[in-house]
Amino acid sequence: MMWTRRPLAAACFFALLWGGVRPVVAPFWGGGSHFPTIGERLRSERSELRCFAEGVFERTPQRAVILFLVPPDDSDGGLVNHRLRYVLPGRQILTSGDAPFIATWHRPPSSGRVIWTGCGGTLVQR
Amino acid sequence: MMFRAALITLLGAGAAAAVLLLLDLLRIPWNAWTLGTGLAVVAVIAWRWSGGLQAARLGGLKPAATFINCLTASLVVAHAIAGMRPGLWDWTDWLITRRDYFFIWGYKARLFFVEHGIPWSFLRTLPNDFSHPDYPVLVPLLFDVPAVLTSSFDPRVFAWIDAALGGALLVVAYRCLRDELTPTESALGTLALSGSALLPWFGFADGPLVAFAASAALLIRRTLRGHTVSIGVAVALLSLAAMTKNEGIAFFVALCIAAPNLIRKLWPAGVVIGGWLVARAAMHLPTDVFVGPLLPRIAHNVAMFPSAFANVPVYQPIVWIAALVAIALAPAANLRRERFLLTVAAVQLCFYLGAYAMTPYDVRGHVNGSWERISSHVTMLIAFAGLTSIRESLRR
Repeated sequence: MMWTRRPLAAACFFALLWGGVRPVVAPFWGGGSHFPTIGERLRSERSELRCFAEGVFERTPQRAVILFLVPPDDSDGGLVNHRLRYVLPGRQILTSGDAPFIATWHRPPSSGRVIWTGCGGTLVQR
Repeated sequence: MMFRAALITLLGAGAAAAVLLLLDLLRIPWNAWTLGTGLAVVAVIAWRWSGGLQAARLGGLKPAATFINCLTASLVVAHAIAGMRPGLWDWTDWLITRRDYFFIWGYKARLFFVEHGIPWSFLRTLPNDFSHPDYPVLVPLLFDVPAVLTSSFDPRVFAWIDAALGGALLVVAYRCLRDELTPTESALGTLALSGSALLPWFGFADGPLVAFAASAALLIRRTLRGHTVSIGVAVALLSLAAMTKNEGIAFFVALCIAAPNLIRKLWPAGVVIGGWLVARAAMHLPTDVFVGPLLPRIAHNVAMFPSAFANVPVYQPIVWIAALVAIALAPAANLRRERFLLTVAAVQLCFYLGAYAMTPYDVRGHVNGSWERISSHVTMLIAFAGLTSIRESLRR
């Protein structure tokens, strides 16, 4: 047993070294994906959505409750409100129900006083 | 000198976040001047106070050890550079792996920055599905420090915060290894620990949590082995870990279980945690683990464990396997020597399994989305125990 312990310990050390260093250097050689994570068309659409959300942020007061309607394909499995909160901090984002502000993107605008139109969407106030 | 700088980095990060919290509580507006003044006061206090931290001079380093330490330092810089990749911070990607940044940590940091303060009442209105309004606010506040100082919110800076805290943890680990190993062995060991300290989840709370919690555990291990080090630093780091994530609170409990004779000295961290829990309850910040009927949920979730964990590895599985094999080479001696670190790790993992058992969400999705990341919270402790075990085996 004694004669195997030292080589085993040395092997463990090299495994620890390899396993410890590899994830840190991985992003620089082969660890990062060479493929785009999303298509250019999708990226362009989401850039437009971000542009619209930033416009909504500038034109609504703090704590505004906003019903944000996007096409089902862009709902991120029902999590688009979480995505939008990052761009609209301090606003309450709903994806269903009713709210004083209604932001529609790539969908027909809702009825109400139009506050702003741009970046593929319309913001109205009820 | 480096040890002192590392402790100042860790404690200073917490103090910088605390300055923003204090400004918020005093209703002083956040701007570069008010924050800069607060940070200057903290820096002076920290430097004077830390004068007594240096336990013993380590003497000069051999060229080999210096070279290896430079390699480790270059990994820290490389980690920061890797964290600045634009894809990590691109809102349009909607990557599942980046959700926690955009849904929790980055979101709150942006919210506080835009509001120039912490809108507690607004946090209460957030649903507790992904936003976790019940999480402590140290990390978002820490992210806001450079944003407030520069008046611009650039999330790529968070990569440097992650790297600085991870680097500080590596210095603490080197200092603790140095108590028992030669300079070259310690340098090699620290290099091997780099992946355990420099986590790939940029902009999440896990990097800061591991930096604070593992530093505290290593310093307490040092105290238990009779070295002269201020337990006060470890207590402060434990408090910061607890204010980083709920897992930090669990870590404090795990540490108390592992070192019951130190509980009397750890009480200030308990007071901080108690204060936060009272504040959280008073503000009705919703938490999710304990909602609904527990027993049927636990029975259902535990039955799902085999399939949930079937294809999800721990963080750095090679490191875990190597460390555990090394410990098994002389189990009695290694377990006796590393009883503290291994008990903390085991209890912490039990807490995580308990949380999975109680989760109100789909347990397979929950495990798949978090197990690798949260197992990284104790990887440093396992790897450290593995390193000292390897050294003992090579000495025999």
